[in-house]
Amino acid sequence: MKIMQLSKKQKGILYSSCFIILALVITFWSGKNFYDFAHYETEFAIRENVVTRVEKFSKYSPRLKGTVGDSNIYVIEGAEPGPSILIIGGTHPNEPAGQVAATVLLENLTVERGTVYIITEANRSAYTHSHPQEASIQYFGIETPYGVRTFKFGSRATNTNQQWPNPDVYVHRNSGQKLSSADTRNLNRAYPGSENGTYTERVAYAITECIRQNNITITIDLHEASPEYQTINTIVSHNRKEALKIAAAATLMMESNDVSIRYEESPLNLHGLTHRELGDYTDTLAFLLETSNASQGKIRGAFTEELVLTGKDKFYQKAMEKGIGKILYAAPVSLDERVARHVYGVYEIIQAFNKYYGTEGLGELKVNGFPSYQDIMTNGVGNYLKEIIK
Amino acid sequence: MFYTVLTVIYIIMLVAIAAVIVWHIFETDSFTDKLIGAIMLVFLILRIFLIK
Repeated sequence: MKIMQLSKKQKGILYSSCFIILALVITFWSGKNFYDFAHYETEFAIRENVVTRVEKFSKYSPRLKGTVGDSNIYVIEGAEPGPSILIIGGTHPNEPAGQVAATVLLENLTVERGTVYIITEANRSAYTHSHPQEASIQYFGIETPYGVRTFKFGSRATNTNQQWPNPDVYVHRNSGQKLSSADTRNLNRAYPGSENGTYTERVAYAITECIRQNNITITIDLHEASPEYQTINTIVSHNRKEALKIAAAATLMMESNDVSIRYEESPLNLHGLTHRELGDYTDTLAFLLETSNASQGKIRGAFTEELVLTGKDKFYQKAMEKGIGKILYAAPVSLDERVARHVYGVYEIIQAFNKYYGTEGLGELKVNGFPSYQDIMTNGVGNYLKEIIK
Repeated sequence: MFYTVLTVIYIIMLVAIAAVIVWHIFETDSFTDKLIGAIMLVFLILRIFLIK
């Protein structure tokens, strides 16, 4: 039967059916892509002879049990008791250096004295989706001697499948501070969290309780920001004098080794962040480290895996050449350099703690196995990721 | 419980909207309307199954 011979009504039904079939095919294809991404599990090499135990967030925030947000906390205990440190990666899954640096530390550190706690996926729900309208990549690969290690590039915010509806204005539970709706699902605006609050607040509560119940001495939250953001290449410290002293000493040591960095005090009136609330609500010395990530930038061009790995973007290059805007650190910053900065920052904070407080209270925190800044820059971060043995 | 009830109401609304769109795709003579309806169906079905 030729289409020309069909009646107008029959043609309408034929065209409508074709459109609907096409819509269903596209739905299935895109739905499978989103489903596979949401359920992809990033693998980490857990050294059985080093990692003492793996705890779950639900130990500290019971309502997370059985949900996607029930992340792992890897614990490495030294032979001798001593101070402890919590390293948080993956708060914002669109800031990959935080997660990769936490992974490098998980897979390389050994502890002589004290305890190291490492979180590689602080907001797992945010790893199950991408941020709308960013056209971001879903995965990026890092070359290692054992093949390519795949990491996910997720969203800044908790998935709406876990938390909705979102109010027009986000009111921080403890301070009453008002922020934009987008921050309702932002883990780093939800601290200290709440056991029975929103999904994001329950995740924040798990981390706060982990610190409180284990009396963790130092907490370092690893982040990234867009090149034009004021706080890149910075150690942000809680305003407790011990924390400020450590941040200043670590900054000086990094600067003296040609790693450009500065430090700033956590603003008293900006609530919900780790460097503010964890310092206020627990006894920990809270720090947050930032690096420059062009893939988060407002003037970047195409979102590619290369952009995430190399930091090279022609629009930032052009802006830097022309001196347009307040570009603070628009030179390409590779993932190697960003991870090296975080790893070195953690190292210097521990050294500064030991220098000023290692002879009192709990004594020194003795942690070995840090790849040096220069080693990561020379050999690439992939050389410090261990083989996944199944 | 509140979240579950809210989600069920939300999905029922989405299913109803999707049904109206399918009905409109068959009823309209406009080619553009059929195309826009098909694009909307993609987003609605992904949302109904809470995939995206």
